[in-house]
Amino acid sequence: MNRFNGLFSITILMALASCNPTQITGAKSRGDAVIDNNDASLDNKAYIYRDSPSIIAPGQGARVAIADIIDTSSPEIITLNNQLTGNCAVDLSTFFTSTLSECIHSKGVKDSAETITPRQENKTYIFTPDSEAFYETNALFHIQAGTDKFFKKLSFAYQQVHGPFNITKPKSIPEYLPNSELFWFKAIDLSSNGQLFRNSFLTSFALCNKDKNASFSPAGVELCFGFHSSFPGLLFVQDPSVIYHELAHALVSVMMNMRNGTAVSSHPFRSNLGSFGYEEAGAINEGIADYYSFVMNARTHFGEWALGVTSNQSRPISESDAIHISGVNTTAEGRLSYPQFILYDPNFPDSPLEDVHYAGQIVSHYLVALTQNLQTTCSAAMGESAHDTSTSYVLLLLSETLSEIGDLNSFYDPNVPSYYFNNLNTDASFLWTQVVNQTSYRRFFQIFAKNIRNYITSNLCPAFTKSISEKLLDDYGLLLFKTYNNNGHTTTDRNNILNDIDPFIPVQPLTAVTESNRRKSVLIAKDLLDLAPNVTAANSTISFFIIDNGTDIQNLLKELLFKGFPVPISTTASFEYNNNNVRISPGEIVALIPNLFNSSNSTMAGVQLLANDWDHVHVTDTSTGNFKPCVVDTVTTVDQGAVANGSETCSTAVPLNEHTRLVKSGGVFPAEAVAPVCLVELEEGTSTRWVSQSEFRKKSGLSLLDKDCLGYVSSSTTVDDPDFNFNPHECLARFLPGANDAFFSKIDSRKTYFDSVVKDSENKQFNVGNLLLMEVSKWIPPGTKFRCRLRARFANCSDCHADSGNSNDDFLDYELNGSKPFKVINFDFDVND
Amino acid sequence: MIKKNKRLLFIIAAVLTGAIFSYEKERMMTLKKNDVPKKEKVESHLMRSVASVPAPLHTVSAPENKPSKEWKTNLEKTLKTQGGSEVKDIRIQKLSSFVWKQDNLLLNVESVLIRLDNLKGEETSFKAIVDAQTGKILQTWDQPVFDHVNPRENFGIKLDARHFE
Repeated sequence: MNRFNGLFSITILMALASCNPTQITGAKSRGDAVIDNNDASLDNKAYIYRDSPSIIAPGQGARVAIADIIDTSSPEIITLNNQLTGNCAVDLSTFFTSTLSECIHSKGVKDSAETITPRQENKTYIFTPDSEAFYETNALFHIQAGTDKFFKKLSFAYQQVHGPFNITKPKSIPEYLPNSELFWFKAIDLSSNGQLFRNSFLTSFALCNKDKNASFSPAGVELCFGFHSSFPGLLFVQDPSVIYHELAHALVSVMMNMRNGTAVSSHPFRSNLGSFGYEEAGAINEGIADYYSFVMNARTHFGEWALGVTSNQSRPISESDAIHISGVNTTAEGRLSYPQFILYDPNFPDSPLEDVHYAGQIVSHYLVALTQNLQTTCSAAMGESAHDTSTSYVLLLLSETLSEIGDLNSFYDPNVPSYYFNNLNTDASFLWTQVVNQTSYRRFFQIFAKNIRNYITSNLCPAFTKSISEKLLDDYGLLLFKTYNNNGHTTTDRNNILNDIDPFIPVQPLTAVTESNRRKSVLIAKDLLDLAPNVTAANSTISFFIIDNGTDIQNLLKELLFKGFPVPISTTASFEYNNNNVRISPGEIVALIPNLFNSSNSTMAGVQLLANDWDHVHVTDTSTGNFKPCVVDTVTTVDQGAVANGSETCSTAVPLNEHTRLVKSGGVFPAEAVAPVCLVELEEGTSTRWVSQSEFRKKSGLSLLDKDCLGYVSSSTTVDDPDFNFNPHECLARFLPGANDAFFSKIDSRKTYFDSVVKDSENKQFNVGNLLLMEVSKWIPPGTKFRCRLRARFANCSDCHADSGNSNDDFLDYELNGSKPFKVINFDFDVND
Repeated sequence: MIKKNKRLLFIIAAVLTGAIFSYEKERMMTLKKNDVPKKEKVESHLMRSVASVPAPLHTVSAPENKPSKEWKTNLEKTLKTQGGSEVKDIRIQKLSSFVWKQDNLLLNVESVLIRLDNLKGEETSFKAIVDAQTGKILQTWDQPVFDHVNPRENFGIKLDARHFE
């Protein structure tokens, strides 16, 4: 009887609330209790909305009252805690459950108070619809549901990977995961007074102060659900598919870092899948996040309310979705294939755009197609819920793949910590995962396919054969690799293999892709990529776009900072020196956009350009660190001061097997080191040669001390306090750390990047991911000539990843220190007055 | 009959599981006894352990990281320079101090969580390690993933028509 009283109160309240569409403007009421009586049947419960207004009340646009979509027939347990927090529990062992109490905190507005709403005196979580506490409650319900599902699938993955059927297979999800507790954001002591994570819980802010935005912040750890200023009352938190999407970014972060700590120690950094601006790692992250919405609600469309109603930007997750253009369908020919659909916006198909969310659709569509294919091919193994079982298979593959990609410790077994199998070594692994060997569609899907072979084909579903797997990947243009790179060697030596440290894992023969399965995935030789010629006539091309407008650069730097990317600008350069003459002048900070040209007959995709230090010089003097450039192409020759390739000191075929920068240590420079990309031309009598910037400043009469160089920082009170991290060989011109790699979605056949992507785009804008940022010392004499040796490779490249001299096995990680896997792109410039 | 078979299967499975479990346990125990593979490569890696790297002066003089008073002020100044007038608030929370090995150097560093507010009240956060003496930013990570409702409204750099003149 009491319960009916409570429901009656709610019904009245709903009826009142539904008279008007929600009108939420800024601060909300906390949300008083809306039931008078509770006979204990509503303890810890609340009424929630199960899906977005667009799904529950379709066809009404934004005019849906939130009170109208609440399911009043079946209250749900929100939490057994006495405040809006959730707990984590995962069965990683048959014998016990790993638990973390209050691993989720649900809050509303982000302010200084940031209190957690307690359970009401009537012991329910039933708050006034549309109040702050109401949204905190709903957010917690959906986040907890998404987390519980993830843990259930992670439990399945862990028990499969470490089960008796897979004892002979190399595995990435670490066996010590229950001890490290890195199945969540677990704070770990690094020292007596520190921790890797600030918090060991995920905080959700249901009413975040972000216009037109939702976000995941791994530093917090936080989820943030914003609003849309053009649609008062419309909140992102009202769309559960958006909650699942943002939560999935958090889960990707968890999976990426599973290997990065044990119970007793931890790597000081964490891996992230993606950066700012366009790159394929970010696109994969977005694709997985869309897919997780499908995992949760089994719908093949995402964001109908928060993105669709407001901006026509909801996204399909399958080719069967009606939104697609004609020709896109679930046949082998009709799949959303790479690279054809990288820029595809199904809502505005005639207006392509370089963006991670659009490119990520290829990933989400592939994952849904794989899920559905597993359901049909492995129907006998699916059990009662084909959706649940098949998505568990895919989550197993994702967790194995992401934990390998994000591995910063680099070792396979913490008991053998100096035997590196992944991402070069523990010291360089962050640079490798995030920059040098950053995740591309090729890297991701090669590891993913390896895991399909290991866990699906050879165990869970033998009917899903290697050939079926390769054909499905190829339908999406993702069969971008020649072998599975599965022979388990270390990062520096093919003769050292996993079997050396784990006798359970037999010697693994290298498995090749069946070439007849490669029908749509086109691979292109790296030499067919180069800079566009600099021609200034009509229908011209240009090699590099130089942006030196002070206002543009200042806005760019601000944008980078507020996206979390500080760029360390030196005291001898500033945007105040920028003169906006589209050339490079002393003191300027400039953005460079290389205009790459594809001379092949197919589209190149996932083009990465590196301006970080690499092994391209021979150090001639360890007291100064001066060097001679190695001959790496036909551009810089022996006549110009270079050392011939193939000599003992300059063998580009055998680069340095560690990543050691050319900085002073113990009073001397290393005899072998990676060097900055920019050389400078030194005139000596009638001859000229390319030298290090440090040598130039000494020999050309520039009286520059170290402290006057770019990149030198000292504490203000102790001027003589040396900057140990300082590299004198980038004293005059350098690419700024954090902005020294660029990414380009695709370059069409016989076109430049500009013509392929920017020229016909709506806003004719470059993506931030396309930019390299360079700073130039104000002390450089005008007329000084520089040559910067950048390195490029791309995802669908035939010889950037596979080494034809080693049966198409992938290049070893250390070889990415050199030129062999790359096309060297020379950027020559004079400093203009 | 079926029941008997089931029982038999169960016993076989239990014996197998026990055998695998004990072998695996023994293997882990063996590895814990520093059973490093006898390959030159491994030994050479071990020889390049942190302890053997020549230490710079400030590491020697301050084996327990003693950060300077200026690192935080310098870091704030760096961030303000880049963010200009758009920076409303900067909060730097120290997470830990440790010795970071890079390029054969052992550097005293501070691991920090940085939070920035812009004038619109929007917040961003990320982690960084900075030189404990100078406040120089050495590495950043854990930047947010932003999902703008409409990617077409994201920040971009306009083409300068003079490039084709």
